[in-house]
Amino acid sequence: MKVELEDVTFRVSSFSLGPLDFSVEEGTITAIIGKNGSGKSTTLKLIHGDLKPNTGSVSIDSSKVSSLSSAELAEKTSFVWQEIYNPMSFSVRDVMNVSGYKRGNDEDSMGEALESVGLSSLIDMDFSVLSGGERRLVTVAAAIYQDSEIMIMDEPTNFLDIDNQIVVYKLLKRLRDAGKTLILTMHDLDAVHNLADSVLILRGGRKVAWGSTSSTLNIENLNKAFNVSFHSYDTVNGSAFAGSYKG
Amino acid sequence: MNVTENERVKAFVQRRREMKYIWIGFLFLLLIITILLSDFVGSVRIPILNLLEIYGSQIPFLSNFVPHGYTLAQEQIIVQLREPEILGGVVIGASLGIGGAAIQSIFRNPITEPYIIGLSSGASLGAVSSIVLGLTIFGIYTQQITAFIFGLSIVFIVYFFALKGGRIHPTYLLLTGVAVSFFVSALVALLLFTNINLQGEAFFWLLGSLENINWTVLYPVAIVVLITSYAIYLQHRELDAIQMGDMHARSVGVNVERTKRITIFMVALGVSASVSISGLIGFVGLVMPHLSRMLLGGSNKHVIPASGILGAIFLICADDIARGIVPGIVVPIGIVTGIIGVPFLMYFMRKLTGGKYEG
Ligand SMILES: Nc1ncnc2c1ncn2[C@@H]1O[C@H](COP(=O)(O)OP(=O)(O)OP(=O)(O)O)[C@@H](O)[C@H]1O
Ligand SMILES: [Mg+2]
Repeated sequence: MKVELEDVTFRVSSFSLGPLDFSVEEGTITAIIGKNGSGKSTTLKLIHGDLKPNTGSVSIDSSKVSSLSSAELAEKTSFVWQEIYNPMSFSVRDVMNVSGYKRGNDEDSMGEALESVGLSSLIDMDFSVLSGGERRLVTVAAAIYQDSEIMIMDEPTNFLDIDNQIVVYKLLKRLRDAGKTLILTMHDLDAVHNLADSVLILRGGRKVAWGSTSSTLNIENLNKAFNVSFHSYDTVNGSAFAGSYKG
Repeated sequence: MNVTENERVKAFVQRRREMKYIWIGFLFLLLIITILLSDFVGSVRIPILNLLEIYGSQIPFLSNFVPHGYTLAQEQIIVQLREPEILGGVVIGASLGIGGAAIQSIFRNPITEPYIIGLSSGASLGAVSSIVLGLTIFGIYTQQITAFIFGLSIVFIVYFFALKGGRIHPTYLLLTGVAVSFFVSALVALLLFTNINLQGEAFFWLLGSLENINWTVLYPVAIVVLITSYAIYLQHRELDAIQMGDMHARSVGVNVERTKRITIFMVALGVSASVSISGLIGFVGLVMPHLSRMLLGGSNKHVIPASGILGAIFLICADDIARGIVPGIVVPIGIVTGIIGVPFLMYFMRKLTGGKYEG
């Protein structure tokens, strides 16, 4: 399913975002990068219709997001939120059940989704006693369990150790290869370099660059987006970025 | 995970789930026993044989076969006084417990209860003004009916004040509820301040009591509570989702505002009806959902029914103590729930949590 933004602008008090104008192709990974507070989460919420743009419009699968009911939206998109609530006394299963609200719950798919992040043994654990990283993995598994065509993920690798970051990167690739459309934010530029098909770079709510990863994710644009000066270097896996302090 | 381990995990999960139903069944049984035993409590002692005969005589068809060894006075005490009072405790305790579970889910806040949305202050204003102004527009049940109408109306006022751009934000609703409650409570205080001679009667209502409940008022309230409780239960999956955040709930397909609207309206209806005949009984709506979560986990599928059953059991027991502790005197139930209920529950909460309960 395609996601399209047309001249989207949005403002709250002192922060303004946009104009954003791009479309995300089906079966691709799109990464949004930028400094803290540059508007990444806000962009994702605009795409998902949680925030209403002041001008312009967002459409998913050529219908306007603002006209979709929550049920229709949930069938098309799932969302991994940046901040994780601590629902009162929920087990991991309860958290997963919530994501099965539309599709109906079934044990096998729930087990599979949890197994894809290596946590199926935690299914009856109290969600609130899990570590931060484990909770993050459960929310990723929950989004997979929801089984929608588009997956929006706000920092899915937040809190994760290096092993689990790689688990999630591989998972994201598998999802894309299975035809899912992924829109995500991430702070690890090398991961973005390796994973993403397209990149949106933001700074202070303004678009620095948008396009295919190879044409967009370069030193010139990164230097515009962040306050450090970047250089690239070769590794066994190809080139990587490193930033150094200015001055 | 290999196949045998998978099977083992599944069996374990199955057992755990069955345990939850066993728990609810057990609580329900406990409720029935509490109801039956509570008929013994009171200033007049009634022998068990006579009590059983009276029960028998109330069951259609069976009544033809049981001996009538009891006196008319005994029958009157059981059927006209104790039974409606005890069943009133069931209805009111259940509506408070269930309302508490639903309201805590909507607010994602464990220290909220149904009263927070303006219910208690509204109902107080209704009851106290009918006492102070000597209203008789609805006949002998004027006080109950005005309490009900005011409770419901204040919730509507709170709801519409808190509505912003078609959405209800939990924090904003909470603050509006608290603010409006303050205002309405000030009006209640003003009414009482200017009518010193009626403070006693109003005071009794404000502390809550099951003593004045009779079949005439119990029937309509029981029907309202039954319907609203069921309506709330039907929302259990939506309420679970809302506990994870309004935006998360929407993203999994829940119509968040509709769920809130239905839930708030049903809680307001059920709890206003309840307090209209009992006065303000605190504590049940706050604590029973927690106790349920500790016993059965956080899913509202179990929390809602368990909170209802526990609320009923708790209120009947508190009422037994209120009736039985000082011979010949009925202590207001609010005093009992506070002085005896709170330490008891604090103890249990400590025991049950074992350090793992967070929020
Ligand atoms: N409701 C609001 N009122 C005022 N300012 C807001 C509001 N929502 C977002 N902002 C501001 O908008 C800016 C962008 O926020 P956003 O959450 O999109 O940043 P982000 O790029 O996701 O940052 P991070 O990397 O820290 O997650 C921030 O400066 C934030 O303070
Ligand atoms: Mg963010």
